[in-house]
Amino acid sequence: MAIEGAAARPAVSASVGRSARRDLLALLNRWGWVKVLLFLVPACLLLTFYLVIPIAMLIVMSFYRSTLFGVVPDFSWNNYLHFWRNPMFPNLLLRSIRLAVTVTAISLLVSYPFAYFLARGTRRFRTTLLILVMVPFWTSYLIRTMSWLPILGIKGVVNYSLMTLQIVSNPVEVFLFNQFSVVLTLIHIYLPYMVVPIYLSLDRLDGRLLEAASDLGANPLRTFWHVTLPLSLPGVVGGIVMVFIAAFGAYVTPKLLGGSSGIMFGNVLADQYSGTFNWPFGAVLALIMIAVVLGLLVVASRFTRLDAVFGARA
Amino acid sequence: MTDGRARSFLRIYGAAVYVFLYTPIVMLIVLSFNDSNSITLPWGGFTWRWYRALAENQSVFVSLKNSLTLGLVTAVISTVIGGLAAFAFRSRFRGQVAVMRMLLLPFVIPGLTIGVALLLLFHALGVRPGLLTTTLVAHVGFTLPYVFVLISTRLHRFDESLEEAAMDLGADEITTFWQVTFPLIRPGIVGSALFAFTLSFDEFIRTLFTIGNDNTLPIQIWSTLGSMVSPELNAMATLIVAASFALVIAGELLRGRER
Amino acid sequence: MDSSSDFDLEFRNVTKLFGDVRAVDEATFQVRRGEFLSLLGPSGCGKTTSLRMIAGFERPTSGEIFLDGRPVGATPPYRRNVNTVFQHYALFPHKTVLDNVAFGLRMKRRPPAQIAERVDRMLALVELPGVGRRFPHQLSGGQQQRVALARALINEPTVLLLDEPLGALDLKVRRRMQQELKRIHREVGVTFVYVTHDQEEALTMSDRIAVMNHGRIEQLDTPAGVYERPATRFVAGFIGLTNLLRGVVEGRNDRDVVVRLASGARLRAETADGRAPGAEVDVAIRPEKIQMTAVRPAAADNCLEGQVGSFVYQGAATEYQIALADGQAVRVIVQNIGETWRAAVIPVGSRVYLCWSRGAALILSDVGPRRDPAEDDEPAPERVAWR
Repeated sequence: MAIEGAAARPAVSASVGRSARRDLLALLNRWGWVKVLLFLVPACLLLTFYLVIPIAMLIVMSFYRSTLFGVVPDFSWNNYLHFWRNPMFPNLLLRSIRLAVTVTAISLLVSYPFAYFLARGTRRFRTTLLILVMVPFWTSYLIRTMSWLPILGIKGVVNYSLMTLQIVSNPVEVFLFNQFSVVLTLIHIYLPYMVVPIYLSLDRLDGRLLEAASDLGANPLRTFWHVTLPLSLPGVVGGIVMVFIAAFGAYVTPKLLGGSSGIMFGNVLADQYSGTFNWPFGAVLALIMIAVVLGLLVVASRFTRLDAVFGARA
Repeated sequence: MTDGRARSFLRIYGAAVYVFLYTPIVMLIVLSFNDSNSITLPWGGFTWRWYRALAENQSVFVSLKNSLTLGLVTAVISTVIGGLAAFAFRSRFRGQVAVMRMLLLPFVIPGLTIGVALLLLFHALGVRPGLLTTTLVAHVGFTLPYVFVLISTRLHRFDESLEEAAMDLGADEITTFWQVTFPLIRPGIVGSALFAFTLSFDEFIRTLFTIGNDNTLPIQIWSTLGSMVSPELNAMATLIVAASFALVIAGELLRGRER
Repeated sequence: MDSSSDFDLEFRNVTKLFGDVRAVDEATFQVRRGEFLSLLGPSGCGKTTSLRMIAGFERPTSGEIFLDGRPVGATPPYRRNVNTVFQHYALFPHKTVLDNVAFGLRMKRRPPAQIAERVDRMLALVELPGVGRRFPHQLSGGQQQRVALARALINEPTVLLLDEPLGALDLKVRRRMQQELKRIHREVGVTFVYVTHDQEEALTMSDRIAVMNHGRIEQLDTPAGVYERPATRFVAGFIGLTNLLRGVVEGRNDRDVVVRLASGARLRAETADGRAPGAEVDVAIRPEKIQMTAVRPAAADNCLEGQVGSFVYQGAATEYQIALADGQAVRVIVQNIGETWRAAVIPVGSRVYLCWSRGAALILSDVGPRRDPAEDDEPAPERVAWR
């Protein structure tokens, strides 16, 4: 049963009509870079307006001066000097960094075993467990911050329990409106930021590597130290970076829960645009914040390839 | 460290972490039914009145509508732009590392500094802040890297020989995309859009600096926190948590469909 | 330029470079209408790249490919009358078998009635009637393979390309599919170009085989030609087993060439090779063509003396490793004809005589290292997908 027509058919089939489409596709195939350019233009355009130009404006504004009538160009380093001269600002910067480091460190300690539990545990409820981790992740951090108010306040759950259990007779103020509440809340709301990257890198870990280590004589502890930990490093670094940046850049949490002793860098920054209206100085503070973050990235990139951590193909 | 003991320890530990994660949220939800004027204890009895008050609160509805609109528009624009960029990265081209770094940079710049910088930009341009103008730029920029990463990852897993087969059988590039590529990655794209919507819906800090007189829901909550602190706030928060929960489930179902 | 359209496919000096790597090097050949041609070679030899150039997923760096007498130039794959059966089938997972098979015809906008009828005919041809409504993941590997074949053949291509289609199948299924493919090829009459690294497969299925190595076609011949008269050391080593005995040409007349081995033994072979006396050559003799006896035969064209080093029982035959006087080793395969193998085996250490007629061996003198079939680990050139 031969198929008719095989001998009579011309090799390159003629297409009917649609010549414009053909020409366009032929053009795009000939000049591949046109297609790439076309596809990237929208994103690049957007990011120019979202990222590039705004940061340039920050730099420009940092050389202006704030007067009664608005901002005028200054072309001097006055704003920067203002930062250094008043010890309050560098101290605040250091304190914020310290708080962020504390949050990150504790978050890492708390999250790693949890991520391990998720990744190496039974697969049965894994999806449910992951969803349960993601739900807080997908809820606004504003709400999650706010949710600590009823717990930590003088009329809050903690005090209520303490008084009911008669451990104290008067409400204790130490839980709220200080650095403790800020750190605690920041750990809470950014926990998923640490858990997820570590989970992903642990999940990717091939169990057979652990078996091989065991086969070669390593007990569970040494297997963890020599195999699991190093291979989960990209996730750990990714988590550290994400949590630190979130904690260091915090505004809502310290404002809501920090009282006067829990103020962080972000609050003073934001104040320059509402209360004090010193836009140029605020720009300096913003640039310092960005510089700290970029500094962290540079350090982190020595430990792992950050492009791979943040996703997309390497 | 025996395996059994280690497992039990990890399970207990895991449970403890979940308790830590959820206690504040659960408290929030419980206290939204509190028949008392404070957002915290003591417990005054069960009531629906805060939800009723919410339902009658006009300004909340307006804010909700704004958040939904903004979220929808953001999701669509962000997914299209981010999706196109992800497709661009299937080919190799000069400077691709630099472009990818720029695309991922918004991940690491603190939202507060972006908000401030955008304020400067729009002020300098003389653009008046508006929901679907200045705020939209902030939201699309914010969600773009997330969408880009999600769609890129999905594309990376895509079997290119399917596209070659389609072309081999007579489908040109455009037809191949619609008939083969798009149907197969569609759940991933919708999932990314859903995620972008959620990010936009919850976004606060950049919105604070780029929004004018309008309110989104988080902005309204923020201003309410300053003044009227009552369980109505808890009710609002509870509804938002419920919505997030629903969205996560929807996202997971989509991902499950892909397998 | 005259290109006969007796040839469905022609390569003229086709070269493909990936950076510095010559994936295909000046390939020139013609494929006749209805022929079953195999491209055979180890990984990285250029066979898959050649196939992709025919399909249109790669463009030659230089040279030209002709389909049905016309140059293909820059024509994209979807406008060439060529269809491919992919290595992992590439069936559309989100479409039914019917939609998969009908895809090409729908692209050509054939009327639905005609499509339906042809799909039925195709599925019957590949012996899968009635699976139209199922999805690919519900089929076995062999069934998926047949669907892929139907999907390609239904378009009546000038040339059908098959990229190692049987690689993913179990041995038994693979054997059966080889016969199926041959049957379908005979019934349909379309030109097949088949890529494989399995020489047994190529030998059983092909009308002609192009043996490729490092981008070059070392020999294009019938299976018997490639097996019995390998043109180069590579071909001799890649197809089946060969013994290569190094020696020097001592003399020649119009019938024979005489080669002297290092041990002093002289071998006679037929050859048209024009190598002059003094040239260094290899005498190639297949293990199964050597007769091994314990007693020196009275009259024989070629005979070598050796000692049994080891043997391996292979069921239908026994393979002996024989050590010659000058240290070279020779493999001999002896059919286990006798009633019991144990009684017939020649023990280690025995002195034996290896003899063969002058027509059984041939002289190979191509320049190039002896190729060891064990070196099959060259990395394939990186595929740059056509976009």
